[in-house]
Amino acid sequence: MSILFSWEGILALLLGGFYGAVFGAIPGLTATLAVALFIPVAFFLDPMIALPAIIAISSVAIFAGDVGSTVARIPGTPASAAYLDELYRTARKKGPFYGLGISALGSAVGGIIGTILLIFSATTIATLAKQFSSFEYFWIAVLGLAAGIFASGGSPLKAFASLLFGLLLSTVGIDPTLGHPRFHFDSPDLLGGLNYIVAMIGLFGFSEVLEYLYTGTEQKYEPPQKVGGAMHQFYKKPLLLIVKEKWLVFRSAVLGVFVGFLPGAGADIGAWVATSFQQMRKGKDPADAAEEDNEDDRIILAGTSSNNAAVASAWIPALSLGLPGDTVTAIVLGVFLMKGITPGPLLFEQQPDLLWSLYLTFLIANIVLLPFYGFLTARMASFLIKIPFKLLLSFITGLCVIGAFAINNSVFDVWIMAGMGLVAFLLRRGGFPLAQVVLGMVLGPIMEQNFMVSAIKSRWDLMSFFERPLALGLMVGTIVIVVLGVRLKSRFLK
Amino acid sequence: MNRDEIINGVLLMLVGGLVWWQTASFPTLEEGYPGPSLFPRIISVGFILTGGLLLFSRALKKDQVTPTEKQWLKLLGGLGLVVIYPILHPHLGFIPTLGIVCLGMGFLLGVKPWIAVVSAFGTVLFIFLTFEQLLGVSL
Repeated sequence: MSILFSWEGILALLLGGFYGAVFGAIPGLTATLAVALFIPVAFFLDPMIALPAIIAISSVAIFAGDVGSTVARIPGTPASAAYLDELYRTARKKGPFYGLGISALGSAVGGIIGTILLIFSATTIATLAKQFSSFEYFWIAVLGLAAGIFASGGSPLKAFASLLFGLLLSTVGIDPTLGHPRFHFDSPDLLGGLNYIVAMIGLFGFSEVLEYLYTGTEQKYEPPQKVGGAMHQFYKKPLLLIVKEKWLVFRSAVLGVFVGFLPGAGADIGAWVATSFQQMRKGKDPADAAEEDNEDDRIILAGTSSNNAAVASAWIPALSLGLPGDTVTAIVLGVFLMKGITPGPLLFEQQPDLLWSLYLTFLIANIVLLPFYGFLTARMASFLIKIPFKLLLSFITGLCVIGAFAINNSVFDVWIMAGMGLVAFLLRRGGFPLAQVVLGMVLGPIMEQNFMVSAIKSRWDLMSFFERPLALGLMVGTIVIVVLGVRLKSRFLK
Repeated sequence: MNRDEIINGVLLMLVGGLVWWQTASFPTLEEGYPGPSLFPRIISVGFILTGGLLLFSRALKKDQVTPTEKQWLKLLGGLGLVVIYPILHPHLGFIPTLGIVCLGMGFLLGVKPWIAVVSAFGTVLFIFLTFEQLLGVSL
């Protein structure tokens, strides 16, 4: 473990954090891409340095996805899209230091909780994860979708339509049962499906440009009141909020851990589920603007604490079962094999040094790197946010085009981005929420694949979806969400 | 009657119908069980029902402001500029094409010409340095 505290180890963490911050903050560049591009470098490094560097990259990049949301309403990651509107509003009303402070410190606390659970219950949780079959995965996806419908502040009917649109987009490409190409319109570029990062750039970034061109105005917010300096805004106020909302942070982090450790789920879905639960509570007293602002803070806190908790917990199945929790840990498993390390239960007995250095890195990334790089990115955001929006739009357009292009080095993705921007513009005009489109795109493949696998496995005996205790529990959870959602919405509409 | 909401409802129902029609050619599983068409068809029914409900519940609400022709032209201009990128990129390369897109956008937004030029130059330089030089992403 001493190698972690050598100058090479510390440099790897610092550079990894910086690299993750740059990647996360730029729309189109993701934590996964950052880790993937790091692999050729990792090949030449000691695993005790390479793996901690990957943790630093992914932990900081997932947080830095919020920088785009703060400055230009473009989420850097699907997880950031879950609380995009709330973060954008908070950054405009109360300042970027406060908005990103909640995001960075909420992520840090969530990450620490996730790491503690990773340390003490990796093997136990992994055993529970093994109990999850395709039936449970199907119900998890349904539960996430149900929560997403009621998470939007507006009409649940329109949120449902947006969700359907996202689900429809997720069906483009090869189907999971027979490998039949769907909705590809004879274009080979569509056979692989739509990349949701490209779609997100169009949905949130380019549609903002089109909206401005159409209306010629931007939504004005009162300039934030200066209370204390940048440090006070970034560290002290969010910390006080976290202490006040400790149960919310703990609950969201545990939820993030629970969803994150399911192989294939990861931080995105963890953030969506936790955020949706909190968003459903919003709007009880819309007349009270201050309370509405505070509720925005709580929603950001729920989302950020759950996504970084899920970043840590996604390592649980990777370490103990050799199954990737998300795309980053899928790459990590490749690094394990490249370095001759076999993940699984034996790893805990044979490589305790490696495991403890990973745990320690998670703690360092959350306690030191996130608050440090978070403050730096908030300073950058506070500069960008002062630039007149009109001037920023030309830059946003360039970034949207290149962000979409850079993912697969394909001009076809620029067409997709432009098309999604137009669709998003029309949806916004019609009062349809956009975040639910991303949710549908993320959860659609999980829901369809697991439904089809379960149905074929049970020879189309649909009762089998209700027979397993865990599946039944998740179904009951879905019904509770729908009933609560309808009740809260009807109370809000009175 | 709220015309926009009626259009929304009808469009949703139309999308639903189109999706169902597209799935007609999809194969089925053995013993006639639905295969690749199942999920798109469920989504299609969802669209039709949502569209119908939207028509039913919202049609009596107040009407909205009609947009002007100039607004639509600006919107199409913005869309056209971005569509230029995939067309010109293979012939001109990344730097000139992105420069044209950003400069055009600056003019379309109505900023002063020198600001549009500086802004386009700055954007291209920033993207070139960050993506290609610093991060090694080939453009």
